[in-house]
Amino acid sequence: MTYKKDTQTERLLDFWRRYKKNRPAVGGLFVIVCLILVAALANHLTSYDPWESNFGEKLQPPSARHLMGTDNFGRDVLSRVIYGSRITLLVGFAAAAITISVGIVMGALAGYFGGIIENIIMRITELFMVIPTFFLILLIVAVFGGSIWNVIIIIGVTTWPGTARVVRASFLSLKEKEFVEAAKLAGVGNYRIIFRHIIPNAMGPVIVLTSLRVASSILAEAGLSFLGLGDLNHVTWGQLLYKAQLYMRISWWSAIFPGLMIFLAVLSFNLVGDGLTDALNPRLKER
Amino acid sequence: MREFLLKRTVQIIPLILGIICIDFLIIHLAPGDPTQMLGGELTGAPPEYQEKLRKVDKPLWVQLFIYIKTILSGNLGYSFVYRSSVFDLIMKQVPNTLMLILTSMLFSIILGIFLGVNAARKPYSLFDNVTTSVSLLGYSIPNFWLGVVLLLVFSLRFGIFPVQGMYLGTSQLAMYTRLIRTSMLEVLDQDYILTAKSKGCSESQVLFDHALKNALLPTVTVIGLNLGFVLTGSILTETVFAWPGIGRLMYDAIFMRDYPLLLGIFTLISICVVLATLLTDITYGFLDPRIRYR
Amino acid sequence: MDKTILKVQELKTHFFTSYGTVKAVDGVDFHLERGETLGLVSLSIMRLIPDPPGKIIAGKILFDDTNLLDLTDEEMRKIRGAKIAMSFQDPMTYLNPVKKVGEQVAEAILLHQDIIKEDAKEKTVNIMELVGIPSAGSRYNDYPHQFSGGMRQRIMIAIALSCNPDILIADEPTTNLDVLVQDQILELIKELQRNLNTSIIMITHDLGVVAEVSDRVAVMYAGKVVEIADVMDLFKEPLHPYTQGLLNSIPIIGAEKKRLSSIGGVVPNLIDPMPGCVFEPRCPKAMESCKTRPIMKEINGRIVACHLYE
Repeated sequence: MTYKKDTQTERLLDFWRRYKKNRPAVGGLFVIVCLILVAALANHLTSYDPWESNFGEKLQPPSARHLMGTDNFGRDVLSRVIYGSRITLLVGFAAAAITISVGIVMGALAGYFGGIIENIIMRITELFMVIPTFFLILLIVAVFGGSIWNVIIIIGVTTWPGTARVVRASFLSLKEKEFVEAAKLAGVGNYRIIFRHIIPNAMGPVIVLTSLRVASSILAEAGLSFLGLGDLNHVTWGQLLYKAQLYMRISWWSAIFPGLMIFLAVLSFNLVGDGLTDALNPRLKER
Repeated sequence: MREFLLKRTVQIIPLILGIICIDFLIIHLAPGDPTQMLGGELTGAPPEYQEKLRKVDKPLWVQLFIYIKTILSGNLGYSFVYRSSVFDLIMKQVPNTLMLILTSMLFSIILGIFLGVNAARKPYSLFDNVTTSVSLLGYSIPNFWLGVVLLLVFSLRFGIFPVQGMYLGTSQLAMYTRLIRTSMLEVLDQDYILTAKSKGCSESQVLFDHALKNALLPTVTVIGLNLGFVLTGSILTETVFAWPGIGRLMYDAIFMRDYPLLLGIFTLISICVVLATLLTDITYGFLDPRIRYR
Repeated sequence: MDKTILKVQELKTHFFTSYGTVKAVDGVDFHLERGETLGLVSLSIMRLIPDPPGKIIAGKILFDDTNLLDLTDEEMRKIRGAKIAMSFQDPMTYLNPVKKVGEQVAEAILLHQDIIKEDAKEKTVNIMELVGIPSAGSRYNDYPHQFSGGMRQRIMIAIALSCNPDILIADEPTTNLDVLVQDQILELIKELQRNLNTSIIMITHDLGVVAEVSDRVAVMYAGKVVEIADVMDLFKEPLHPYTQGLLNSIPIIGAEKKRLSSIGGVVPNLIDPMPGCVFEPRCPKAMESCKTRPIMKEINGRIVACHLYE
């Protein structure tokens, strides 16, 4: 039997091979890449100005000229959806970034130092995991206002406990390993150990969580907007849904398409999360 | 068993206090005057609610303590929009929401068991693949969008409430189906299933008599934890279907910026969820003989 | 009534995995007589191999002249538990943690016999007493985690014997138990066999256990039977080099202190077995002819598969 060379590239290729096995996950990844491209190249993809009203073409069903129809202001829905992808994805990624960063730090501190620090942090995570997070987000946004950055920060700050728990769990087992002991003996300071040595090894489940967090952040923003709490100045898919509520009965396309996009994005991130989980934990399944 | 119960009960106390602290933080960190949150004199609230405000000049720690006491005594504030105590307002709507939640849970649990068990029977079969895919879809679909779709497709008025319950139960159903399937697969892999087969048990006996009991244990825990999500979902359900319940109340409160009501709903619901998790733990303790008989 | 109750012929059980086909059982022949204890191979007989990835692909299992491999699932289920029963190795994981112990024992009875619940319960308590569980009546309602390891093993035996089967397959009944309890369990098995006249196939790696309970022994290596003999004959004069190696590697207390001897080489690869005798790579007596597969030969009422005896 030959042994595979255990280089970085080999491991990445191995990982990709395992990931590929889950075809829906690959599909999800493909969709996400497309969405990102669409968001980045929005300017070049839209033929109509998403903000310009054109009352002559009000509320037209999907046609060759307007693939997704027009809304009550005569604006091309497709263009609005394309532009909407930008802020929607921004909210998703940014909120997830906050959640994960705070979560990693808190989880690392709790797992590494133990004692009172761990106790306090764990009590806080317990609290947040029990209370209905969306209610909390609603409440805070209602009180503090729903500008885009508020929304991003609020979503990020209310959801870090989940990540923290996972990171702490990884830390509990990792900190007992030999490489940590070796680093300590070499005189490496605590914080360096945490960030340079342990965290990279704990990233597996965190990466999975990131994908799932993006999905739920997008959903959260959409929910907020739908209930009227979002930022009315920006176009997000949730906002599109909200504004389409009144005209739903006569122009189904203005509501269905944005919602479809949300669904697609959330589904894709969930699928990718699934695929990552499988790829990171290879199980022997004889088929 | 007794220590288990005691431990669990004690654990929820800091949680409840934590919730109240969060309220307090929100009240005092909010832009504007804290009195807005609490429903003070300016809002025309009856005298007993104005009590809270007279202490505003005292140091924060004292205020927190008083606040905690007030909440725990059932005084959740006064809604100046509705001209009624928040507590009363909420209680009026509870039965409706309760009905909705119970129907949705019944629907999702029973159907979830049926689908999950059958999917686990023949893993990767057509039934299983279809069920799993549909569950994934049901789980990812944004609730409100589904509601919008449903409303458009069936533009009729639904007099029979089961439909609303089913709608609320959709994402729950997806979750339970997946969970039960995974749980069953894990259980079916266990050694004692082999013992059962060696006695000559038929497939359905193995599935329902031996496997399901074990597989349901973790499910019970999840059901309890889910209560928060179900309540969240009820906001949308009640909005979409014009159902007069707590969710609807919350939606209106947001719309009208009725802060005391919002705070009150949040507080009450959070405390309920905490109590529900305690209840779930106790139920689990009863169901698992390893805990019940130590 | 024919003395032979079970006859296994050319049985092959293979596991199809993505790494290759594991030939776990590769052409096995042996027979079991009434009332005797044969010391050995298992799951295949009850047709309980997990499928996929395992499959019985060839051979015959003749139980009282009926080939078990020809039976339908339903017919097979009638035999499991009632005529052929099995007790497993690790009673903690083989007992359902959320069911009462008494119910688990009674289940087999209720499945195969046409009696009412109360009678079944009575029978169950009897069997539990028979296997040596004190206060069986009240312990009927207890759960597996409330018993000690030895007691749980007795429960497993009780389950297996509940319907007074013709054949009991006991899989490593004494592993995971301390020596004193091991002794008790073995005594129990012997006594039960005397009273119920059950034929037993005892699977174990412990030669001491084999010596104590078996009438005949079948030694297996790499999915094949290499030697079958009466227990006394086997221990006094092992014919197959593998058996010899096994017996040599048992340290004897009180004898001269020598280096522990072991059988050189590594465990065989069951996916790509060699074309010749499976034991050839490790055999101290290997010859040229060992490059071909030896056949089972009968010598003085014993059976051995080795070129040394051709």
